[in-house]
Amino acid sequence: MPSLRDEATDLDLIRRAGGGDERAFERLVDRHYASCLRFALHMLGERADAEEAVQDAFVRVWRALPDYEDRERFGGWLYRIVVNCCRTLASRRQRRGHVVVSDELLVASAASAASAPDDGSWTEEVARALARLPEAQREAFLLHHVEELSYEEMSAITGRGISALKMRVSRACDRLRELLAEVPSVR
Amino acid sequence: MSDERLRRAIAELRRPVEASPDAVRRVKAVVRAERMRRRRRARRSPWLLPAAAAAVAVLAALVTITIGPERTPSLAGGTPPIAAPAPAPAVRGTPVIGGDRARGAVRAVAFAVAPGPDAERVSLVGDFNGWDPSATPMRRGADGRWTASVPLALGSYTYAFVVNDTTWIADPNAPRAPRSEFGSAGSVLVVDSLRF
Repeated sequence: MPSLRDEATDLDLIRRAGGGDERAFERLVDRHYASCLRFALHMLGERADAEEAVQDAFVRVWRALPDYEDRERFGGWLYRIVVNCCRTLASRRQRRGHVVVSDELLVASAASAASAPDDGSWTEEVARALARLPEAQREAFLLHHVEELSYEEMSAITGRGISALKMRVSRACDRLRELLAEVPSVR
Repeated sequence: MSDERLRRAIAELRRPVEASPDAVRRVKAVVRAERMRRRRRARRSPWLLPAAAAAVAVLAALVTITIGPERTPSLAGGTPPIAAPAPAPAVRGTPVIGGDRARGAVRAVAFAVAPGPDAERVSLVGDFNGWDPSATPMRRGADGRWTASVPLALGSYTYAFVVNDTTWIADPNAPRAPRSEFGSAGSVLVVDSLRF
């Protein structure tokens, strides 16, 4: 999967896309779609929602290309838009009463994990533990530990101070440790 | 043990996610539609925009031509969460294309749909507005119909309605698009000078 840190060619593609080169923009989509989808999927928990958020993000990127300034790393700029799209979709989902992981599901999954722990159940346990984090903590944790952004980049993306972000990540890690410790056995 | 599990969880979360080729194609299609919309907009001379707005304003006073039979629109597929429309007075099919005063190039097209009492927000999406649900919100009338008017140049368009931000429905009174860019329900509109 291409990394969001491949700056040199990104910049070239952005300039060409900004000049109306549709193919250049499509190459940007090809390069970054999967990374954006991974973040959105972990944030929202459902593929359809994640795809919708990422699609919305790329449309916004296209519209905003004329405003893009070289001094900002494209990856950070893109993440900022993806994060905002995920937040928008999550709040819309809350308004219509959608809950990603219900308590009933968690109870059921704990029971099934106890009886047959395997790689699949570990993946599910990780997803469920992540879904139980407060949204702000989940977002900070993913940006730092999974997407490997620095706190400075995260601050620019989220508009939050570095200390607050460190606190969120720390609390997210503590909570995940607790939740994952409850998983009966892991191979 | 907990740190080891956390480390494994992070490794798990860092695993690449496989992107659906269809989803990637959809993104590209939406952006292409957005680009075409901008081109259309750019092609319109500045003097045409107020003229198009004027065409919308006088729409109600002008003779209109209705496409499609007269019947109450219903939900495509009739799936929840939107309830089936309550019995309503006959609703003229949409879109309604009005005469215009935009130097013959732009038509004021009025769209209407009656998606039922559960609709809280309805918007019009199509290749003329980049399939953007926030671009053309519709307004609810006293008769339960949601309407919006859009100035369109002559040409062929695909469109749909988005109900409560989530449910895409085709216009029941218009020809169905062979395949919308989103794989969702869509309808075809031809703005044709011969109709006027």
